[in-house]
Amino acid sequence: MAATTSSSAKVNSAPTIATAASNVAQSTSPMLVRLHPVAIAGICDAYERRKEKATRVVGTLMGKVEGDVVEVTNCFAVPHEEGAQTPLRLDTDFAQSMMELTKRGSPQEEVVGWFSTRPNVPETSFYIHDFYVRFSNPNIIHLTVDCTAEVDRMPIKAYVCSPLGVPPAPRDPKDPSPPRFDQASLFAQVPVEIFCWDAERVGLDLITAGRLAPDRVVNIPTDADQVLQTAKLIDDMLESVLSYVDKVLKDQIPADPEVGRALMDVMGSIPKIDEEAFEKLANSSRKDVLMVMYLSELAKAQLALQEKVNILPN
Amino acid sequence: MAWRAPEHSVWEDEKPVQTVQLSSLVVMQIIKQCEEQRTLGEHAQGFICGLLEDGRLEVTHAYPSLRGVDVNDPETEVFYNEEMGRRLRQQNVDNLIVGWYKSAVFGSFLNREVFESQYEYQLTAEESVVLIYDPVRTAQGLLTLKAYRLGPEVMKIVKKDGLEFSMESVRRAKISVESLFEEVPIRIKNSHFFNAMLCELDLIAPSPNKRPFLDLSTNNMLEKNVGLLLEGVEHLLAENSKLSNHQKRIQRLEQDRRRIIQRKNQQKQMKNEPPLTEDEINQLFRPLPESPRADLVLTSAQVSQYCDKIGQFSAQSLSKLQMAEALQGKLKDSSAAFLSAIHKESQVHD
Repeated sequence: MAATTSSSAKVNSAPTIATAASNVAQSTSPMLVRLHPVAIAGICDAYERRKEKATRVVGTLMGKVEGDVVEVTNCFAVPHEEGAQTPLRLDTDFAQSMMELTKRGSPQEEVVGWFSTRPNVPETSFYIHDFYVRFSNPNIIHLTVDCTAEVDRMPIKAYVCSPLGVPPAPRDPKDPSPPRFDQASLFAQVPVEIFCWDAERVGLDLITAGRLAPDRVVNIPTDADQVLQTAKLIDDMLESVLSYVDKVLKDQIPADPEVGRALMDVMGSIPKIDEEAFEKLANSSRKDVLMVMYLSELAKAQLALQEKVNILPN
Repeated sequence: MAWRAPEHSVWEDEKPVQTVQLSSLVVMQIIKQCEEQRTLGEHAQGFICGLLEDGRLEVTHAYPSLRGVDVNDPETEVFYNEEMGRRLRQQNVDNLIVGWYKSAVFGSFLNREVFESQYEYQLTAEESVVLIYDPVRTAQGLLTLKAYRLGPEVMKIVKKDGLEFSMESVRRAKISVESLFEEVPIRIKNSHFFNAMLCELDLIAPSPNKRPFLDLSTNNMLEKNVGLLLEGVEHLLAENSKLSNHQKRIQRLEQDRRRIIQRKNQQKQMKNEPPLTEDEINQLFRPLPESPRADLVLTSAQVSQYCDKIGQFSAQSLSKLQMAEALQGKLKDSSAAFLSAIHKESQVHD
């Protein structure tokens, strides 16, 4: 949490950006951040492509706001410089133009915040946040993804910035520019939730499967692979349920009523189909499939013939 | 955008792309962009950036193409690509366009538009591929992403004859429906850092393991597939009848021609002049019109693609049915056993 007052750092904002603050200001402050995996992947990619000696990467988060929920669906890095000696420089032209480009590709996205790849919120973050506030709206979020690998995990945290109500520092009354900063602000944490659409989940599951492969490669499975994998999965699941039940029956572990109820639910969800009816269903399904298969093979044969006759007449 | 200067001569005879290697980021980006537009009921399209290395096309970034009012203005698109390329370079992201992606259901992408675009891409950057993403199959639990490119023979004849290539050139190049679009195998490779991130994601948002693809209902999918196939076959029929009309016309023309030549030769014979030479004949008539073959080849390829899809789908459905039947048999046995066990139990208690 950073609280700050000094204005020695320099944010080279273009004059056009200052007016952008008059955008529709959301009245509610965000309460939940819904993060799509593609955004995290983008942040990690940006970190891997950081400049030499850069301590952190910052960038813009794009997405949409629905009530007090912020949904982050896209991101891009913004070049910046900071360090112990060098003042903060943020390429605001870049941020502006990249934002416009992104909007032309996906018009429904807007700026919802910014990210940083270090776990802490240093003083410079305040100035970057201030830039983004004037750039879009006051209720934007700040997301930190810890890419430093100093801890075993990769904590992902989101913050909203709220003023502490300390009035601006006294300054030269002849200065015509409006007061910019309050004396102190607080970055308050808001909960983050990983959110996937169904298709994204499918993709993520597939990619995740490759994380333990020695060569880090995943191949896209075919239909038949998929059936096999699922059958194996069900087999494994049944195995573990059976071993649990066996253990309970042999009094090796105490029975858990929760598990028992869940198992009963599972049993209950198996439809009881009359044998004849099932035969009939399965057979009609199979007939349909075989028929279509036959037709498609016929079409293929016809194509081969046509190729011989029409495309390659000899 | 960093369109590379064309340098076909180097690649002309080899197959420049053997595999396509996608980074996880690209897979996620393509899914996200296609899904986003699917909710709006549109088909998505965009560009992929990367690099060719040793016959392996490494794709590391994807961004959507322009949407909105100015879509059809080529200058805006060029500007958008240039600007995007510049900005990507500033982020140290690969900015060389190596193809494009498109969403299409059930493999229904083999049409004129895709063919022409892919030709343009491969003309500018020989290694370009098109990635086809199927949102419907993916929603059913199987990530369906395929990479295609035009075969070298196809490129050669289109370069020579233009997009309306003729029967002659098709015959000479020995293009078959299978070799029109070549499928390039895809692999997804992650960096170690990405794997670390995936582990973290797995911890905070574990997969629900909800896999819908043992679903036994096949009718819906079958119906759609057959519908598409029918459409394709109808299209093919139309193309074929066009072709036979054309052939009839040519035959008529040839007959007329022969008749005229015969008459002239007879006249000449009467005057004791030598018969018409080849050159004279050619001067007398315009050459016979060539019949364009591109549409026919494309439609055939499309129908063949549908057939393959149906084949895959049927094989999968049949195996699922088999499984269900095996289970049903087991269920019968086990439920009988269960009933008798309960029966015994109750007898003991009595």
